This record gives sequence, C-alpha cells and structure tokens, in this order.
Amino acid sequence: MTPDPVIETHNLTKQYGRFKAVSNLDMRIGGGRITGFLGRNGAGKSTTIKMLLGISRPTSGTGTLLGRSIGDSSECRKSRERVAYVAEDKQTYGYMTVAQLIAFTRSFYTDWDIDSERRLLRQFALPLTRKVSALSKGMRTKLALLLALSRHSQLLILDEPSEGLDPVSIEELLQALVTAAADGTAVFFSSHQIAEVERVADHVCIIDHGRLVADTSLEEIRQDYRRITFGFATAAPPLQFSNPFVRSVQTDGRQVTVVAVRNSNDVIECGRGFGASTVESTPVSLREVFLSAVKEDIHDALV
Amino acid sequence: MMLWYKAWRESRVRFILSVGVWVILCISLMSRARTGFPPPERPDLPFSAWVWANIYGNMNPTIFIILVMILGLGGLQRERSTGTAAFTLSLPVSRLRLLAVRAAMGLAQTLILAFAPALLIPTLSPLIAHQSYAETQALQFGVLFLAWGSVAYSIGFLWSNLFGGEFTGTALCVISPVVYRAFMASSGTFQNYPAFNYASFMSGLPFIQNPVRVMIDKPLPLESLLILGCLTATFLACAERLAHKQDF
Repeated sequence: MTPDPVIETHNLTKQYGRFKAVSNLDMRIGGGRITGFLGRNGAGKSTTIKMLLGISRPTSGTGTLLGRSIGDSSECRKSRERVAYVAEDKQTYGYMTVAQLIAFTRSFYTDWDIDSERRLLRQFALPLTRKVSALSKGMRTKLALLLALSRHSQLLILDEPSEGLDPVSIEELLQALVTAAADGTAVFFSSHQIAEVERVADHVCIIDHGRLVADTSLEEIRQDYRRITFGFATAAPPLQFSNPFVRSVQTDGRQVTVVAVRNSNDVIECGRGFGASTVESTPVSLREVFLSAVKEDIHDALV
Repeated sequence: MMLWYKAWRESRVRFILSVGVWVILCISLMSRARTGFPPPERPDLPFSAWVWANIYGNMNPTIFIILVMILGLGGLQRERSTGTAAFTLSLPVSRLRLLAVRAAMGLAQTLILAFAPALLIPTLSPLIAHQSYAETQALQFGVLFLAWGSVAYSIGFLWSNLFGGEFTGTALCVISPVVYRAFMASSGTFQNYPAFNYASFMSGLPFIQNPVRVMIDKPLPLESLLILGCLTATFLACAERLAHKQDF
C-alpha cells in the first residue's frame, strides 16, 4: 500500500502577469523519506514551496500539505502546525536576540523539543544574547535551521538550506536531515547542490520553467539509468530509438551516446542492430540526470 | 502572547518617539506658562485658551494625525522588504490574527497618545504653571483625538498593506494629513459634516460656545464618534482583505 503523500499537487500553477512561475505542476511526495527538489535559478522551486505553505496563493490548480488543502487558509494554518520550514533567505527578526527569537518561535508549537534546541545551540555555537541583526549570514542560517530542527515536525521543508554554510556545517546539516528522516520526519528540500542531494536524498523531483521534468528515486537512477556509448567503425548513422525510455541521444563522430532511464538492455540491442561495433554501458550520476532533464526541457521549450 | 510581543517590538520606537513629542510639548507648554502666562499683550487670557492654542488647536491635531498614521506603518509588506515575511507567514497563525494583534496594539498606542495630555496637563498645570485645568475638559479633548486618531491609524495601517517601502509610507503619512486639511479648509463640500474635518473636530471647535474660554461646553456628538469608529473598522477590514489576498 502506498503511504499517504505529505505533499500532493494537481495542475498547480502560479502566474505573475504573463509569466508562469509554476506551470501545471503535478507532484506527489511520499512520507518517511528525503526528497530533493532540484531546479535552476528561477525554475519555480521557492514559488512552489510558498504556495504549499500558504505564503503565496496558487493562480490555479490544487494541492495538499499533510492531507490538508493548500487553497483553504484555515486548513493551511493547521498543516503549518506540523511543518517546519526554513525559507530561502533565512531572515528572521533582526531586532530580537537569539534567545528571544527562540522563545518567540517555541511558543507557537506543541512539538518543540527543548533537548534538541539545547543540542543544536551547542552544536551551532549560537550566541544567545546577540541580536539577530548582528549575526553573520552563516549564523543566521544556523539559527533558522535550529528553529526548524528543534521540533518533532511531521514534515521538514527547507529552501536552499545549505546556502551560506561552511563545509563543516553543511556536513552537520546533512546529518541532521538523515537523523530527522530516521525519526519519521519527511524531508523536502530544494537545492542547487546536486552532490548534497545525491548524498542524502531517497527521491528527487526536478523542476524547470515551472514544470516537473523528472520525478524518480535515487535507487532507480543507480539501478536503471545508464549512459550507453555506441562505437561505429565509420561515421555514426542517425539513430532513431522508438524506446520511450531513451532520454537523450548525442552523436559525436563515430560515437553515439544514449541516456536510457530504463530497459537499457533493449537499447543496447537496438544499438547493435544499427551496426555498433563497441558498446559501453555506465551508471549515470544525478548531475547528468539533472542536466539531461533540464536540457531536454530547454529543447522542448524552443521547439 | 508572543504576537503581542512582536507587535510591540516592531512599533515601540515609533510609539516612544510619538509619546516623547507629546510629553515634550506638554512640559514645554507648562514651563512657558510658569513665566510667560498670561502674556503681557493679553493679560485677561484664560489658561484654558492658552492650553487650547498650544495643545489642542492650531497645527497640533495635524501633528497628532501624522504621528498616529506613522504608528500604522510596518506589517507584512514591510516584512517582505526586510525578508522576514516568509518566516512570519510560516507560523501556524492566520493572517487575520497577525493583523488583528497589530491593529489592537496600534489602537492601544493611539489611545495612550490621545489621552497623554489628559493625564499631563491637569497634573502639571498646578505643579509647574501654578494654574488649574479641568480634567473633564482634557478627557473630552482626549475622546476627540482618539476618534480621529483611530481613523488616521487605520488609514496608515491600510497603506502599510499597500506600500512596503519605508519612504513611500512615511511620505504619505506626512503629506496626506496636510493636503487633506488644506482641502477641507478651502472646500465647502463638507461644511455640514464637521466630523469630516479632523482639524476642526479634534480642536473641539463645533462644541465650543465661548470663544474666549475655549472650553468644550456642548455635549460630544455620539453619532459622529460612531461614524468615525465605523470608518476605522472599515479601513482595518479593507487592510485585512488586502493582506488576505496578497502573495509574499
């Protein structure tokens, strides 16, 4: 049985004038796992997250967050009780001290864990008496993370959480995400850092030009995605694959490189049928999947 | 409770400055009265007329209106400019509650500002100026200041939901009361509705029979006060509707 999704959207669209920031987004994020939300700058990641939390209103389409409609203000408020969120810019009230901001935020949640708060305070070495406005960018990011990670929330949504952090803190953050997921919290985080996503995520959604262009598990990428290079004795013929799992075909002299997302054996057989003298099949990295998905989207948009 | 704390922290500088302006005005008036009252050119001038001219009349209602309109600034649009709107809106609190707490805090501050002279003038008059001023007079002026002050606050509050920039909102709060006052002074449109002319209404002119003593001696118009209360509620409701629909 498929577990209830923590996030679900149907034809979710956000339009600013004639510009569609998010376009007919259909997405289903399952609970109990870490989902990486990838996309280029301006792809629509933050807009999608803001719509899920009721910070922005969808132009059209529907969605649910923890089973509650995102179109209904009251339902949205109730779902926010169980969601921890770190916004893209990590700005909090500069006029409060770290201690005041923690006390302020703690007062809104029943799932606050004082032990986690103390542990994270020690780990991040945040100065309690310092005003938030006097913190460095990295410290502000750590504070925003502390406010989100000090709770036993059902869903953790992080928008570019590692931005502004040093490598040690990024490591601590990734570990915290894994621990949160192990404790049963669903994690949904957007990032530009593909290596980070590849390290901790179970699942990835790739968005480009406001549209979902890939939705797959990391396990599937490791097992099924293959880059197949066909070598030909003479100039490579123009290969036409009818296989729907072929994602991209690139011809370079006597070589043709194909990315297949499933049934790679069928693709190999097909390539041999075209007269390929050598065949090399290698796993595909998430970076390649991302670039392939995004490039294809650019191509579609141009066509 | 913490939302009240937030609303207080975000408005306290403006509020304390406004109270400071009012307190300095009242104390300086008393100090001047101690040595310079009655003025040599008007030895028969009643103390109530002196207080009226320096606190409740002339340009002081306009200064008060500007101060309370500035109190109405801030809020979610301002937070959008400073980058904290996403954090605030991710809290499990409705936008209605966020706005209601801020509005209630602002109206409470308006109330304190409106009645500050009612506390200071009757108390300080015998102590500093060796004069007396009736508490009932001060309270009646306080009611008039509160009625129009609430309207002005709610207009500032509405603007804060339209303009996030620090400069735009402040400029509007300074310019619009002056322009409105000039318009009301030159236009005969609302002559039959004195409640719409804030300068005249707050100065108590429609309720003063004796122009020498300049004391309110007619009953305060409950209907006008009610209308101003309704106007306040309407502007606040418009602000809430706007904020409800806005994206951050």
